[in-house]
Order: sequence, then structure tokens, then C-alpha cells
Amino acid sequence: MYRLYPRLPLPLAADLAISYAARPLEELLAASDCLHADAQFAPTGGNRASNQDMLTLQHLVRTCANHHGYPSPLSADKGRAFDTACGITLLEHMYLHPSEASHLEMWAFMTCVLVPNIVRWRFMGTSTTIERFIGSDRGLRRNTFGRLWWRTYLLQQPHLEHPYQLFNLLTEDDLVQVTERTGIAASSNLATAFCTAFLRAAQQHEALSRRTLLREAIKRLQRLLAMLSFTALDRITLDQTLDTVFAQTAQALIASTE
Amino acid sequence: MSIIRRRPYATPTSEHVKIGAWNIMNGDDMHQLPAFLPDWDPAVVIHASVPVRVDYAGVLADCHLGPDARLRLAAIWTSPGTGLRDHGDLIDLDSQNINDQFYASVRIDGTLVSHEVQLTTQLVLLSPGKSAHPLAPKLPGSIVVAQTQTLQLEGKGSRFPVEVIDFASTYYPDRAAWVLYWDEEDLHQTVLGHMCLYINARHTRVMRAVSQLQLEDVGIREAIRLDVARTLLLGALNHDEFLHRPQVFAEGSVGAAIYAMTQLYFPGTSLTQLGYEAAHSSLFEPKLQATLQAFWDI
Repeated sequence: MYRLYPRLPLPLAADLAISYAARPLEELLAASDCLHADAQFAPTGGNRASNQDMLTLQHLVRTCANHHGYPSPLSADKGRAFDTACGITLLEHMYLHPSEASHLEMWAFMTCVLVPNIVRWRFMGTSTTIERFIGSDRGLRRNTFGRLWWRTYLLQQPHLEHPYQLFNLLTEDDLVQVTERTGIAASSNLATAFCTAFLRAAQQHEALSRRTLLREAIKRLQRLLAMLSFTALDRITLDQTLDTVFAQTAQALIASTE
Repeated sequence: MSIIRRRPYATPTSEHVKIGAWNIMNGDDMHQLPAFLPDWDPAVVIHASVPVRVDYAGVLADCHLGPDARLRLAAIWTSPGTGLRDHGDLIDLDSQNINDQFYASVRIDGTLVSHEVQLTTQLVLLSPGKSAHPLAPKLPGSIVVAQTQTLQLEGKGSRFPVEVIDFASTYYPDRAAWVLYWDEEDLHQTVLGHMCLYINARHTRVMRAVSQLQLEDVGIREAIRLDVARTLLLGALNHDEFLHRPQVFAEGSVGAAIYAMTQLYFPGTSLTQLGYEAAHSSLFEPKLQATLQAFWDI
């Protein structure tokens, strides 16, 4: 059964985020809670998460952070490892459906009420930007936890023995490039096919900059998305079309360096 | 994503592909798809179907494709709220289809959508065959015909997102009446997901005006309507991308909604002209009041 989570109105969340931006972790840990007087649930769509469900979720996220070195500052590699582990934890334990997950207010409750200290730790610095607490585009952009749930949801491959293998093969920059493009992130089928085609191409053209290959291929794909219906293609044709996109991109990049 | 105004290959005339209106199925009942689904919630499966008549030979001739080309009829759904897209029926056509009528349907799990669903009927190329005509579509997946109908999922009852909150818990002054929450820097965000009119729960007159629709409160509602329109227009007209490339904003986005407002309220006036008037002329405000007929016919 799916769960509904408390939603925090965005002006309240923004207010909290501003006040949390530069505060030390221990203060935010003390401020974290499972309840907020102004939070509301959607009227339908699942069972309301109980206080115990919220405590469990808080515990799971905190445990995941502890395993990755909390409260010590994160290196880029550890940040990446935390993101993967936390994304899988959220996907497997929140019992959340996309309709509920598309509400920024739900993610704002998590970042501003449930575990604000983890947000601050994950994006430590003099201050943490407000968008790490709120984000945009269904939570997929910038929201500390929304982006992890969505990218895990979109790039999981449940039919494989290792359903999350793409997260071990793609870099943070690769993931951002793919999941923040609405045309590609509209479908798990297209997103996973595009990533696997990219990995094949990157292996085949090791001399090319991986970053440039991906970015140029995305530009090419976005032009095609306006004309082609990738959704209407079967997987074999989709894979062939995406392989062609990468082959043409690689060819153009090689030609430009000659 | 770019918006295609004219495809760079030949497409069929409307007499060879006739796409009907989408119908919504409820058990054995079938009704024309409404603009809104007021009783929708994520537990509801949306089952819809569209009739399509295809003159296959006519389509091939119009597209300069040979008899060995293969086409597919696809029922696609997209939800701007969740950002997700998927297909329903995929029906492969061949030369046996002289002028046949098909029904392409979708069954959409309500947990995958929010705010709005766009139902699109597409006729796409699967394989171009041996045609070498320069105007023929060539790439698998090329859309030769597409037609979209939009369905609002009215789970909360209102098309414009409105919420009542206590301003004392926010950074807004606690004696303010309302505020439009939006990001004027990012007009690509969706109206239904990222814009909200917040009403101060402490302001009983304004609360009553927006919730009870009594005649004596019409002036307050008019003032809110004018304020929202002014805020959105002035915000967007200060935005370079909006002024120079309004067509880049996808359907359902804040930019597209404000562009539609400019076309409705100021027909025949270019965005550049409007932008100039908004920035430099005292005429913009009275023009807006006039076009909205604000405070008339009370």
C-alpha cells in the first residue's frame, strides 16, 4: 500500500530553509522533528504515514548518513556513495508513488522538518542554498532527497540481477545531465536506454572526453525529441536509434579535432 | 525541448488520417473526454480511447513512402505534474488497411500522474522501406501526425492553485492578505506544480471572499484577480527569454500560461511593445484594468 507524507507549505519551508542555511549540524539535529503544526496530507492516494513511519524514515536516513561519515565533511566520492545508498533506501522504504512524489511540499517537509541536519551536512559550506531544501521540477532538481528518489525511480532496472547497477557506472555529472533533462527523464525506459547507450559509446570511444560526449549527445537527442516519438518505439529500435545518436556525436567530435 | 512548427519531411493531409475525440471508459460506459475530472484521485485508473481512421495508401503517397514502409499508430500519455510519459496501444498498420477505423486506448495508473494528463494520438514511421524521396520521413519514430487533448485532474477543486495558510508562520507580514508564490526567474516551471496563491488564514474577509463566493465580496476577488495578472505579466515582461522566444515554453508551463494571457488580453500588441509599456509607460496599468474589465458589472 502506498503512503502519503506530510506536506509543508512552501513559504513556511522557505522561511525555515533561510534560517537553517548556516546553522551548525547539532542545532539542526535538535530542531528535527516528525511533526509540524502546519503540515497537511493529501486527502486521497494512500495511507497517511504514521508517526512511527516518520520515525523509521528519519532513522533510516540518519543511519545511511552515519555509514557515510556523518558528521565529518563529505568528499565528492563519499557524497556520491551517500546519494546512491540514500536514493535506494528512499525508493525501497517510502512506498511512495510518483503522483505523491511530484509535490515539492512533501520533499520540503523531509528537508526542513524531518532531517534538516542531513541536508546541511550533504551540502555543507558557509551556507546551504535554499534550493537544497526546496528544489524545483517535482523535487527532481536540487531538492536533497527528491532528486535521489526520482533518479533512483527513473534509472532502476528491476528486471536485472543488479537493478541499481547504473548508479555504479555513471558519475554525478552524468546523472545530473540525464535526470535534469525533462525530455529524457519523462520515461524510465528512455532514461535507462539512453544511459546504457552512453556507457557503450564511452567504452567504444575512450579517447573522447566522456563529459563532452554526453553533453553533445544530449543536445542531439533533444533536437530529435521534438520530431521523433521515442515512446512509440520498441526497445530494440530505441537502442539502435540511441546508438546512432552516440555514433554520430562521436563522429562529429572526432572530425572537429582533426 | 524545441517545439516543431513544421516537420522537415512530408506529412499526410487530414483527409487521409482522421483522428476523433478521446472518450473516457467507465466499465461498459463510454463518454466524451471532459476537460476536467473532478472526482479524480491517485486510486483512479484513467481508461480512455480514441477513434482513428487511416487511409494507409493515401498516407504513404502523401509522405512519398513506398509500399514497403511501416507505420504505427500510438496512444501516448504525458503528465506535466509528474513529468512522466508512457504509451498505451501501439497498433502496427500495413497495406491491408485501406480506410480502416481503429481504436487506440490507454489505461493510466492514477499513481503515475498529477495535475494534468495530455493524451496524444500519434502516427509514426517505424521503417521508411526503400523510399529514396528527399521529402520522405526517414528516421524510425518520425511523427507524421500528432494530435493532443488535455485532461485536468481536478482533485482539489480549483484550476489555479490556492492555499490558505497562517502568514504568522511565514516570513510574510502577518497582517498581509494574500501573496502569489512563484519563481519569476524560471518560467519553465509548471503552473500547477510551482505556483500558488496563498491566502492569509487570519484575514477573515479575504478568506470568506475566496471560499464562499458571496456577492458582497466580489470587489476583493476582483482585486486579487487584477493583482495576480499584474504580478505575472510584469514578472514575465522583465524576462529576456519570454520577450524574445515565448514559444520555447512548453504547454502547462508558467511561461506558456502568461504568453496565453498576453494574447488574450492584448491581442495585436507585440511582447516587445508590451515590455516597453510595462517598463516605461503609465498606460500599462489602466490598459490591464480595462482589458480585465476590473471592478465593472458588480
